[in-house]
Amino acid sequence: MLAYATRKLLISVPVLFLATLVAFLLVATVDPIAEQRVFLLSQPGGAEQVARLEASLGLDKPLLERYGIWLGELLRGDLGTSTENGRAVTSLLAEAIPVTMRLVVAATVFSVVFGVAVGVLSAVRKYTLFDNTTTFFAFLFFAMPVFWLGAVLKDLGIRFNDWWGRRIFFTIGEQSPRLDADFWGTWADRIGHIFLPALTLILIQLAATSRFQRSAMLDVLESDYIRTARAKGVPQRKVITRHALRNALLPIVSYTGLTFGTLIGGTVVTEVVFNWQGMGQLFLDSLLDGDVAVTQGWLLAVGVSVVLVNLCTDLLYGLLDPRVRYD
Amino acid sequence: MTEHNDATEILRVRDLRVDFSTTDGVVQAVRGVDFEVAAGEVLAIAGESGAGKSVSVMATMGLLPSNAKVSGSIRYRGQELLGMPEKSLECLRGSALSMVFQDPMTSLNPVMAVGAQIAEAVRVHQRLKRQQATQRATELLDLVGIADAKRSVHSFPHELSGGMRQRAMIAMAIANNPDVLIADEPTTALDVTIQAQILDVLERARQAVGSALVLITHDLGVVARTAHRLLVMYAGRGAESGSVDEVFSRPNHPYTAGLLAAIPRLDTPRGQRLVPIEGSPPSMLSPPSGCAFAPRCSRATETCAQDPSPVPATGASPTHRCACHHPLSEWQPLGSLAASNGKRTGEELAPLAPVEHETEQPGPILAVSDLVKHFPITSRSPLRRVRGAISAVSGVSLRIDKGDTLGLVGESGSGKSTLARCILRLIEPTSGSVKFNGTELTELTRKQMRQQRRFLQVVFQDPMASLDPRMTVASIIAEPLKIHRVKNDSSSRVEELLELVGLYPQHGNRYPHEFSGGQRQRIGIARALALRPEVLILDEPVSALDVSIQAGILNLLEDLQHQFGLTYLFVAHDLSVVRHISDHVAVMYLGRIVEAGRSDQVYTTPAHPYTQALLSAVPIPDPQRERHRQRILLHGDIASPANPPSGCRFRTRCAKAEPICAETQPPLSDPGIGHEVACHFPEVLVGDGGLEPSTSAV
Amino acid sequence: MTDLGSDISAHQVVVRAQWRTVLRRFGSHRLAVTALLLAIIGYAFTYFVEPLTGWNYKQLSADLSQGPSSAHWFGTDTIGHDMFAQSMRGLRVSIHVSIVVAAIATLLGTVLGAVQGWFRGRVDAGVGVLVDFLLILPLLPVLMVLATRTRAIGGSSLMFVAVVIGLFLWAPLARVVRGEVFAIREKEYIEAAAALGASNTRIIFRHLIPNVMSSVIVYATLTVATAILVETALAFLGFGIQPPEVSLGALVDEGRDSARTRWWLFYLPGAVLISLVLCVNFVGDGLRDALDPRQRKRP
Repeated sequence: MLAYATRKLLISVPVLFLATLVAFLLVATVDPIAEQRVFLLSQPGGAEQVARLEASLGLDKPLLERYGIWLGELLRGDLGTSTENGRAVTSLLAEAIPVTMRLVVAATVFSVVFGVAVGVLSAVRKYTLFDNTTTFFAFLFFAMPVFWLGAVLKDLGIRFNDWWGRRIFFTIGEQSPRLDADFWGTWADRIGHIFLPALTLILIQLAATSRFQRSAMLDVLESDYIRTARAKGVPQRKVITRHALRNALLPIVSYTGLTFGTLIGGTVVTEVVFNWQGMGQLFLDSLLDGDVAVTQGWLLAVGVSVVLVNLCTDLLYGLLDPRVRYD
Repeated sequence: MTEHNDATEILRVRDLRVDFSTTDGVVQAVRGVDFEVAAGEVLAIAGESGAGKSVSVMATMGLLPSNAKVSGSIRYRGQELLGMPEKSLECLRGSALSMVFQDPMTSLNPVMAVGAQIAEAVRVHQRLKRQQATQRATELLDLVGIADAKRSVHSFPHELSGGMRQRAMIAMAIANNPDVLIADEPTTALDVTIQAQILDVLERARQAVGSALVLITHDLGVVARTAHRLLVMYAGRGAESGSVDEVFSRPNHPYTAGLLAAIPRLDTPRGQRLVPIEGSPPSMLSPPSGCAFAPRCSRATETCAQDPSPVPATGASPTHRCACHHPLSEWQPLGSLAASNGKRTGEELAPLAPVEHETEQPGPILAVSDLVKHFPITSRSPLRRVRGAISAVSGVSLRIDKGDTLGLVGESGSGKSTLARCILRLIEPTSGSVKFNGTELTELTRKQMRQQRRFLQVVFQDPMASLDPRMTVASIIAEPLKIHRVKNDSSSRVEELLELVGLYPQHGNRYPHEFSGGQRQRIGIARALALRPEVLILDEPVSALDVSIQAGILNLLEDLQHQFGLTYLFVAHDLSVVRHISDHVAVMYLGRIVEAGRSDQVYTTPAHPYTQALLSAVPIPDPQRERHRQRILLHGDIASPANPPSGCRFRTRCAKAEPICAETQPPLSDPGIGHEVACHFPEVLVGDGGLEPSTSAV
Repeated sequence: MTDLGSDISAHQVVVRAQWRTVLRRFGSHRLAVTALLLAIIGYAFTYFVEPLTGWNYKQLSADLSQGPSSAHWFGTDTIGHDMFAQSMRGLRVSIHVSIVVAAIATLLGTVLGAVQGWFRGRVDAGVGVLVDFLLILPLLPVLMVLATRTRAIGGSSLMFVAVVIGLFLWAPLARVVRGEVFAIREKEYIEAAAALGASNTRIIFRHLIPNVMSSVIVYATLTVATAILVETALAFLGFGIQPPEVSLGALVDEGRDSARTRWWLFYLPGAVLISLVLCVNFVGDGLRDALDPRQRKRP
C-alpha cells in the first residue's frame, strides 16, 4: 500500500506541474495592456512609456522566465492582484470557493449515493419495471445539456412559486442578500437556495453514474466468485450485499475522480444559470474582463483540486482493493 | 476400490434437459441425461467440450443463469430438486451438495480473505460463532494441505498460487461434510504435478468427510486414476456408462472406443499411429434427431441417422449401459480398435519408416547455446527504474538435427515458450547464441532476420487466437507471401496449401470463425508452411484441442514431416503427446534443462527426480495400470523465477536435496545412462516411475 | 460464468462478430434503427427548410415575438427571426461540428492508443501522462479560455471550434484502445504476424486496429454526443460559435430569460437539441449491443 501510495503521489507531481504550466500558458499569451498600448503608441514618445509599463508588469521578460517568477510567487502564496478591482486573487478565490464547494459537494454526495443505489438495484432487478424506468430516465437526463435542465428547473420553480402564491424555491443567488439570521437560519436559507442548482447537477450526474454502476454490478454478478458464493448456499440477498457490492463499488471510486473535471464544468454553467456568486461567475467575469491574474489563479485552483481529488480516489481505491493494498 | 456395493443412492438424475435461449437461437445443451450417485462413490462424467457435462451438474446445483430452461428430474435422497423454492435449495447447496469449480483464479472473491470465505460457508449452514468458524476454516485449510494454515486464513486469494487456491476451494466445499461433492474440471487449469497434488487432496478430503464425488473431466487419464464409475457424454446425451474397468477395457460405444484410440498414451512408444475421430461435434443449436455421433461413426447405418436417438441399454453386465444401435458387443483389444473404429482421415498415410537423415549436411540445423533471457522488472512509476529481473531462461543449450523432432517439455513457468520465442527472436534474448544452418541469428539486423524467417516458422497453441478474425482464410495464408513479396501466383499456392493440410481449397474466402478448432489449427499450419520453411517451431499446437481432434493434427504433422523433411521443435506440457511425436526430448524446469536425450531413454529410464515426478504425475487412461503405479508427489509450487533458488533450481521441491544442491548448479552431463541429466544425485528409477512400454493392453 | 458459456456453444461462438451479423443485430434493435433514421431525416430536412417554410435563418420577418403558427412553426423571436429556421440551422451546425470532432478524436484516439499498446514502455508512459491529464481536465473552462484567446484568429468559426474540441476529446478512446491492444497483442495471431516478418506499421494497421474497431465505433458515437453537448454549452456561455452563425446553445441562452413569457424561444430549440443527443445515444446503445459479444445473452 505504501509503495502504491508513493507511486500515486509521484505521478501526481508531474501532472500538477503540467497543470500549473497549462494554467499559466493558456492565459499568459494574452496582452494585458492591449488597449493602453494602442493608445500610447499613437502618442509621441509612447513607445518608451509602453516599454516602461511592460517592465513594471514584467512583460519584457521571456515567457519561460515569467513562468518562473509566477511559480515563485505562487509558492509564496501570492497569485497576483485583479486588474479590475485591485483585490488579491487569493482573497477573491477564498470568497468564491466555499460557495461553489457547497454545490460540488452536494452534487457529488447525492449523485454517488443515489447513483450507486439505483445502479445496483436495476442490475439486480434486470429488465423489470424498475430497471426499465430508471433506464428511460437515465437516457433522458444523459441527453440533457446542463444549461437547459438548469433553466428548465428554474422556470418550473418560478412557475410553481407563482401558482403556490409564496416563494418556495429560490432561483437566484446562493443566499438571500442582507440576510440577518442566526447560524441555523443562514443554513436553512442556503439549503433553500442550493436545492434547484444541486438538483440540476445531481440529475445529470445521476444518469451517468447509475448506468456505470449498473454495468459494473452486472459484470460482477456474472463473475465466477458470485457463482461460488451461491454454490456455498449463501442466501441471494447476502450474495449481493457481501460479495457483489464490495467488488462492484471499486470502479465507481475511480469513476468519481475521473468525472470530477466534468462536474466542475457543469458547476460553472449551473452557477451562471442560477446567478450564483461563486467560482463560475468569477471565472466568467475574469475572462470577459481579460483579468489575467484572476483567470490564472482560478485555473490553478481548479487544476490543483482536480488532481487532489483524483489522488484521493486513487488512494481510496487502494484501501478498498486488497490486490492493490499489498502491492 | 469397489467397496460401494449396493450402497444407498443419494442422487438420481433422470431425463435431464437444459435449453439456453440466446440471440442465435435455442441451444440444447443437455438433451436427456440419466445418472445416479451412490454414497461414497466416485462418478466421473467425461466428454469433450460442448458435451453438456458442466451444464448437467450446474443444473443439479441450481446454478444455471436465468436464460436456462431445465426439465426432467433431479432427486436428492428422494427429494425433487427441480422446482424447489430457492430458499430450500440454498439450504442444500454447500451442505448436502457442494461444488469445486474449474478456474481457481477467478472463483474466489478477490476482496475477501480466504479464511473468511471458508468461515462463511460454515456459518451459512451451522450455528457457529465467528471465532469458531474461523477455527474450523483453519482446520480445513490444514486438512487440504495448506502449510501454515493459521496465517493463510488471513491471506487474500491473489496471494496464493493456483494450486493453493484450488485447495482452498476444496476446503470450502467440504466445510459442511456434504453428501455429494461435485468437481467441475478441478485440475484443468493446473500443471500436471499440481494436478497430481489436487487429485490426491480431493481424494483425501472426500474420504475425510465421507462424501461421494462427481468429477467432471475431459481427461480419461484422470478418470482412470480417480473414478469408480464413468459416464461418457456426447452432444448433450449419455453415450456410455459403467464401472471404469468395464468401460475402459470393453468400450461398447464407438465414440468411447474412438476416444481411447485417439489418445496418445504415456506408456506407448513413438511410432504407433493415432486414430482420430473425423469431423466435429454437432451444433447444439440444431442437434440431429437421430444418433448425434452417427456422422462421425464408422459403424453408422441408415437407422442411426433416421431413428430417434438410441436410449442407454444394458449389455452383458447390468451396470454397463450404452446408447448405440450397433454397440461393439464383443471385446476387442485396443490395438485393433484402430482398424475398425472411427473413420480414417481421407489422406493417404505415409509409411512410418524412419526418415533417411541427409548425410551431406552433418551438424545440427538448429543449435542453441547458453541462451539467457532476463525480463527486467521495472517500477511502475513513470521513471521505470529497473528493480530486478525475472530469469525466464537461464543458460539453455540444445540442438536439433535435420528431419528430427525435439520435444521440449515443462510446466508453466519453466520458460519453454520464452525459449521458443527467443529462438525466433520474437523476444530478444539477453545473451547466448542461436545458430540456424550455421547463421548466428542473434547478430542479424531486423532486415536480415526477416529473410531468415522464411525458413523458420511457428505454429501456435490457440487456434482461435492465432488467426486474425478480421481476415479471410485465403488472406491469412497469403500474408507471408505478401510480406516476403513472393512473386508466384499466390492464389494457386493458397489452394495448394489448403489441400495439403486437408481442407477444401474453395473455403479460402471464409472467415476463421466458420471453422472448427481442428480446422483452424490446420489453417495455422498452412500459413506456417507457405514459405516452405525448414524448421517449424510448434508451441503447444494441440493442447487447446479436444482429444478426438488432436489426433488428426498430430498425424498431419507427422505426415508433413515425412513429406517435406521438416525439422520440428515441439513445445508442450503434455508428456504423452511429446512422447508420441518426438525423437529427442528435453525437460525444462525453471529456465533450465534438467534432463535431455533420446525420447525412449528419457521416458523409460528417467534419472532426474523432477522428470520422475513429472512422469509419475501423468495419469494413464487405463484404470488397472493406474491402480498399481507408484506415485511420486512433489511438494509445493514451482519457485518464482524472479527469485530462483541458488544452485539446483529444483532443490526446493526435491526429496534428495543435500547442502551441495544449494551451492553448485549441477551440469547437464551423461552419468553413463545414455542421456544427459543435470542432477548431483542422478539415479535411474526402477519400476513404474519410468515407463516401460506396456507389454499388454491390460 | 465464462467457461459455462463456452461449454454451451463452443462450436457456435463467433469470437468477433462479422459485419453482416453486426448489421443484423443492430437491425433488430428497433429503437436504435428509429433513432438513426430520425437523425438522418432530421439532418436532410435542414436543407429543405427554406423551400418548405419560406424562411431562412438570417431573414428577419415583420412578425415579432409570435408564438408557433403555420407560418412560423416554432414562432419568432423579438427581432423577427423564424425560430424553426434558426433551430434547424443550429441542428445542422451541431451535427457538422460533432462529426468533425468525432472524426478527429477517433483518429487520434485510435492511432495513439494502438501505438501506446503496441510499443509499451516509454512511448506508453509518455502518451499516458497526456491521456491521464486530458481525462481529468475540466474541459469546459479550458475551452472557454482558449476561445477568448483565439477569437482574433477566427476562433469562433465552426471549423475552428470543432477542431479544438476534437483535440481534447481523444483521451477516453485512447485509453480503451490501449487496453484492448494490450489484450490483443498477447493473441497469437499478432505473434504469428511478427514471426512472418511483418513490420510494426503492418501489425498496427492491418491487425491491431481492425480488431479494436468495435470499441472504436461505439466510442465514436459517444464522442458525437459529448461534442454536441460541449459545443452548445460553449455557445450558451457565449464562448462558442458566434452570430450570425447559429448554435442551439446560443438559442437556448437567448430564450431562457423569457422562458415564462415566450416559452417557445426556450423550450423548442432545447427540445431539438435533446432529441438530437437522444438519437445519437440510442444509436450508440444499439451499436454497443450489436458489437459487444458480452451482451448477447440478452433474451
